[in-house]
Amino acid sequence: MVEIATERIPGRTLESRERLTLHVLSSQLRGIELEYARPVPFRRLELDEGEPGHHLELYAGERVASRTATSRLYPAWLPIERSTELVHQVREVAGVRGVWAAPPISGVGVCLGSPAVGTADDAARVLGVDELRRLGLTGEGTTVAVVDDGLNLRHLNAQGRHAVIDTRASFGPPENKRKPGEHPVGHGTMCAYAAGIAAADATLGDCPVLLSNEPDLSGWLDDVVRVFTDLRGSKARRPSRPLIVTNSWAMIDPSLDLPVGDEGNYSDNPNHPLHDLIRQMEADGIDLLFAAGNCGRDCANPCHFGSDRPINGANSHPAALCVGAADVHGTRAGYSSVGPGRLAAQKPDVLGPAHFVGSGAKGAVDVGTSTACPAVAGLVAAVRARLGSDVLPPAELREAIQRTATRTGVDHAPDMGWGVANGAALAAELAGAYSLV
Amino acid sequence: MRKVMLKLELEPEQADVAHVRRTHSLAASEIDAEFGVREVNAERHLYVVLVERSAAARLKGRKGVSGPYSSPRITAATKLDRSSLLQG
Repeated sequence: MVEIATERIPGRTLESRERLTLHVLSSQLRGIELEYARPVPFRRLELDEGEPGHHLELYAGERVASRTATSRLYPAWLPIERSTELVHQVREVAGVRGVWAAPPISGVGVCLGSPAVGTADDAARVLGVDELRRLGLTGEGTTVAVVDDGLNLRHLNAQGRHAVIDTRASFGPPENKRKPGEHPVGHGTMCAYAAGIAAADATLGDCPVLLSNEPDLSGWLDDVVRVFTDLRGSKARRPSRPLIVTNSWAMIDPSLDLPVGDEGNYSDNPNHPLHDLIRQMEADGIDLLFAAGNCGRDCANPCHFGSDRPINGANSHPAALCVGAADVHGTRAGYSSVGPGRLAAQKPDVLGPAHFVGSGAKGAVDVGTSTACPAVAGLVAAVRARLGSDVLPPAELREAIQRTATRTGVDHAPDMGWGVANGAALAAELAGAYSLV
Repeated sequence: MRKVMLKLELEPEQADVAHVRRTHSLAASEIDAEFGVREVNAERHLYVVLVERSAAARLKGRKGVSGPYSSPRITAATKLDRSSLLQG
């Protein structure tokens, strides 16, 4: 982190390709105050070698630039190949308060269609399932509502699950004619399987909204409003029963939305009715999770946002946990959407495990942030078995998940969020704070 | 054509289709009675209804009415052709 001269001096451009590890920089910068640590990627860094004092100027994304302009604190990625040289130079610059950098990213992760990395057992290790179970955090007594294209109970149980449908938390639009748990095997079943990794004893709400095949696996946002309000009703009738709502859907084409700035816009508008409703559900004690989406810049993707902040609408809501995807080794999936989000900038919140051999519901690999989101929803449900929202409100649980995530930096990053959700660390923190042992 | 969302400010006892129809002179065909009047913010007494686009245009700007709001198509976050999946 550097506070820099504001005068631009022409100089050569250094492209930022990789990021520095924190411990390397810390050792080099011992004694320098690390005043502010919000890593935000910058497009490039310019350095004028000919000027005494080494004036620097950083070019940020527009949103960041407008925010940092008032404080004159400029976060930056530094090019690793220039690290030592740059660090020494920056230390000499008048007004420098400190230097911060994020750890290295380990190259481009898997893309959709890449072979699986590990199995659901590996995902269970990432999620700390053994440690959770030792504390009785199994999801028992909770409901995970899967808002998707419907669940197939028979398939789940053939895969070793002992899944039970919670009919009192199963809602859909009027055109849905199938009973809960009796849908064709597909995307929703894959999601439900992932939720069961950490929350084997949770019951499942079946909320099919992605019922259209034109285009494949699509639905309408007002059906989400319908289902969410029905779920609120379910929660009101059973206030002590934890309800976790997992959403592996997104709006991926802004041409389908009203323009940004229009009163009726969805993607960027905190006053959209669905966004009111999400705030209300959080206040009701309902945990909401959304997939970050598979619009990651490192892979070909079906999204229509280009490089312009694909995490939008409900998926970027500050009252919900936004989950990106990593493989079971903690490497971010190349397809996982990168922040900042449109409603809340610091999205995704965390990454969850995906891209493993699991349900067999949608091909050989359980892929995408569609898998990662319910996997983390299962972690939330596991915790809720012993810690209701009256004890640990949704916002505090989200913060605990962020705080205990396995991170590669010291703070939030647009690609990794706060890190990979770590159930073992979460369990350890909560066990201490709430005497769970 | 699919109906659109309007957000209404109502007292809780007014949150029913009959009251909304009466207050805003809506024909039965102009409001989705099955969807009903759904609460989205308890503290501010905000509700959402689904109405025909023509009705929404008529009501736009009235006191206690906001919208119409976009109800775009949403899709599964992970859409894949089975052919694109490889054996793990």
